[in-house]
Amino acid sequence: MIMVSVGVFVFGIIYSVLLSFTNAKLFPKFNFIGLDQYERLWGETRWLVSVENIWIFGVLIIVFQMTLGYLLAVFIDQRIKQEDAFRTIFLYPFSMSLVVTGLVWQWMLDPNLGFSSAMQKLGFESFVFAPLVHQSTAIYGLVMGGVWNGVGVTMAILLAGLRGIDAEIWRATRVDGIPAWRAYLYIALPMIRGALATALILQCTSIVRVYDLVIAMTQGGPGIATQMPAIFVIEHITNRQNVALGMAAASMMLLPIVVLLAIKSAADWHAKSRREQRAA
Amino acid sequence: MTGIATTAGGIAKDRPRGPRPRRVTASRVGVYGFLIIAAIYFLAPMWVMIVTSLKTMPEIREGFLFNWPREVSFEAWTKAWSTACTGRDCEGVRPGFLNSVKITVPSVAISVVIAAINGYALSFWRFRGAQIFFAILIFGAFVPYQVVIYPLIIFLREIGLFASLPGIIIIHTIFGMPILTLLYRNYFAALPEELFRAARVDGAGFWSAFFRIILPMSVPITIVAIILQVTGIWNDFLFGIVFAGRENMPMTVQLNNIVQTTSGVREYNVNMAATILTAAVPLAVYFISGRWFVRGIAAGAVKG
Amino acid sequence: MASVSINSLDVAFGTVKVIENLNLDVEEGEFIVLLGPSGCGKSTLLNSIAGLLDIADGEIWIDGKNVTWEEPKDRGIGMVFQSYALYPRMTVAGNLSFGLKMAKVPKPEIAERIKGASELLHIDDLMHRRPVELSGGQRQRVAIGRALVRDVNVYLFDEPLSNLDAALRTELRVELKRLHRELGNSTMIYVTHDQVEALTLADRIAVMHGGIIQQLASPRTIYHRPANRFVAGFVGSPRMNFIAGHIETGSGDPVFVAGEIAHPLGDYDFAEPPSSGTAAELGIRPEHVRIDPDNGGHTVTVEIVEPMGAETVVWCSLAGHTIGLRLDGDAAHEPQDTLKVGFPGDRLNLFDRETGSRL
Repeated sequence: MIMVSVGVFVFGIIYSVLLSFTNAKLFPKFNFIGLDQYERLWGETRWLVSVENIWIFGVLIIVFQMTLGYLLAVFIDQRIKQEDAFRTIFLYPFSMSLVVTGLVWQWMLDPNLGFSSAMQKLGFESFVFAPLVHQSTAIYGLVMGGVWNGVGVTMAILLAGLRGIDAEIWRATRVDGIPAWRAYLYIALPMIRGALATALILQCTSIVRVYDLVIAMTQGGPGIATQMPAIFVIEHITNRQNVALGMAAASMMLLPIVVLLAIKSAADWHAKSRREQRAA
Repeated sequence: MTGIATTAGGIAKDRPRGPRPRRVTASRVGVYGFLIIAAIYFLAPMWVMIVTSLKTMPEIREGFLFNWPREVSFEAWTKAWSTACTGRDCEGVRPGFLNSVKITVPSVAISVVIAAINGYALSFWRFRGAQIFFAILIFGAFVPYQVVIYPLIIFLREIGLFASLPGIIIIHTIFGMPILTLLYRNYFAALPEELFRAARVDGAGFWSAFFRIILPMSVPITIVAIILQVTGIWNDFLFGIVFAGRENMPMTVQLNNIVQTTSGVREYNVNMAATILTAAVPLAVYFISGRWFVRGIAAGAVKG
Repeated sequence: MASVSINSLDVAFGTVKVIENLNLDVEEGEFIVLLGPSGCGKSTLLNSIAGLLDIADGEIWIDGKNVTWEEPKDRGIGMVFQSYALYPRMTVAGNLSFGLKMAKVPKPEIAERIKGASELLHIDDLMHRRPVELSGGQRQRVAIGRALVRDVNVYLFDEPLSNLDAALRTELRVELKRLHRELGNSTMIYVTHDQVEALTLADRIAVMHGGIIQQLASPRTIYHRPANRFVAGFVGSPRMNFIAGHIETGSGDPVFVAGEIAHPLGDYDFAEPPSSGTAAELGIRPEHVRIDPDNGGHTVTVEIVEPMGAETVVWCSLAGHTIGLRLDGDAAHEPQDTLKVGFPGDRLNLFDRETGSRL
């Protein structure tokens, strides 16, 4: 079974990449036409919007989850009596599906039903907060939903990292008179690089895959304002029946993950060779 | 005690002694303030969902989003469960629930068993090429699903399992394999190697060592694996919509169909009740498993 | 005036009292070692002095100032930790200067203090390295340096050498002693479970057990006149021989009796005259047992011989008790040999079996 699984990944990827060089429409036909599909892909507005969106979405998600996640972890680390309760609250959205998350936030941000109308009913007549209805702001609504779902995980991973720091380091900072916030910023943060990397990898994979959230929250709209590469690929395989173009898009999605893993293994290799140098 | 006071010069009574007095400092207030505001951000949507699902439509239209219903009504819940419409038919989320159970139970069982054996085999025999094998596994855990979905559609079509229950179970097993195998392998790799050697010296074969020694030690990691798989498969949307076929649509797909249907008036109370019902299983797993869940995430994050 | 005074200190973890009503005065310039097995409360006491944990009751004075409620940084202490606790992502120079920068010490003075400390500790050419690039011994020197630059009068050491290998430990031990002398009148409070460190470094040792200071005295007194059964058993390796029995007083000198063993106590220096029938334990260190073929008092049978190079430890049986003897490295005895041994009266220790205290 594991061989099947590994085989699926190896052959599946090769198959998909090969198909991207053909003109297959509904069924796979290996009629190679070179890079034409890629040329078409980068000429499509839909794809360009998708790529732009994933960058905006990705950068914002990482920035918010990292800062908010670390803040939450640090605040929970302050010997809070109700620590377990807070942790449970911060993490529970993650247990729910992204479809659920998407629907929940679609309603929360609905101008006629959600937060916006609730504030107006409370007397803030001019209060409007409905990012999903405008093309230019819809992507930020997605970020709100995404952060709500995932920041608890970052918090949990970073908190585990903080708890792994030798208690004597904290004692040393107290004897040295280093203010807590500086200790967390200049001493603890560099010490939990492993946890930060883990959180980052987790965020990156979920960002590249983002699909359910968008489908449930905006269906890629308004217009094509919140299209994502993942939606583009699925659309072209199923509804639009242009498999080869979809595969070209899928191959492009593979690229950032490959680059990321390459950087990571290069870093590992570098660290290893440095260790060996010192040992020699 | 009085003796000490005299040795130190008999200073006034209120001089520092004993524990530091606890003052409510500004930073302490700030810490709690921040945490409480954050907690509200996380809880508000759930609160809104619960109260809205208990309201009637006229009350919802009044727009007091956060208020507790004047009159608690479970009508929306029964409707969401058994009669809400997807645009095609009006059976609520119940068929989706049953489908999700039919998909999740065998998928979790099969994938966990296979992964446990794989992980064990990989740590029992250190074979050549293991490095590359692991690299592929790790890669498989991170690869965007979209890249391999199409070949899998073709593959399942060829063997006649596309859009069927066995088909979707195979898909979940395949995609669960990299992460679960890594999970087990890392767990077994952390066990002392002497354990495996001792088992061999004692004449235990591959299987008897597995069942007698390894399996009893794998309870914690198996719980983690099951939590990971149950929530993962239950929450899946993409594979369900692509591979399950109309008859086996899992609950998440069913929910999305009900909510996004454009025919008729939007019944928010029914939609939210259906959403809570869909989230109920993973939420229950989360609240029951507590810290195990966190372990699962950390383990799922693979230290590559 | 005492440099550090602890007055009726109580420390509790939850409902468990770890330290109860502890008093300790440390003189200025003194090197005091808190010695005891793990869990005896020695580290708890040190952390209480540093202000790193909350105490339940009592007062702590440092340099004539009541610091009971002060933050660690305001207590005028420097501290060295077992795991070094260096800030890993900073250079040695960064580690030494970070606390001073926080305290807004002017830059020229920081530079001067770092220069002084690094020269004293021979770490001046490591300034731009990071902790991972240092050996264990170098790391601990940097950690000591970080305490030194604080320019205080009291230094606290929490098992600073226990993460080092044996050779380095000996080297740094000597260095610490030199450092204490060169710093002049700095007070040092040093926690360890290693009795060799305690005996070699300390001006006075406080042997702790169960949250109580069992004995506070010079290394010499601790070793030769242990105040109670615990101190006698804890300090010394191989440990002191003990024989349980009782004391009989009659017409002549008091006699220690244990089964068929009877040992006259004519030349033992009793704290107060013993009463007959007192349940007692006789203790004598292995190196004080004399082999005396002519007028030895007891006959023992050799059981096990452990040659250790510089010395030989011989384990014998004496009327059902096991007695260790520490002899010259070239002593040649074989199992089953019988020896005549004597217990010199001025080397004996007697403890009350009920209270454990020295008789």
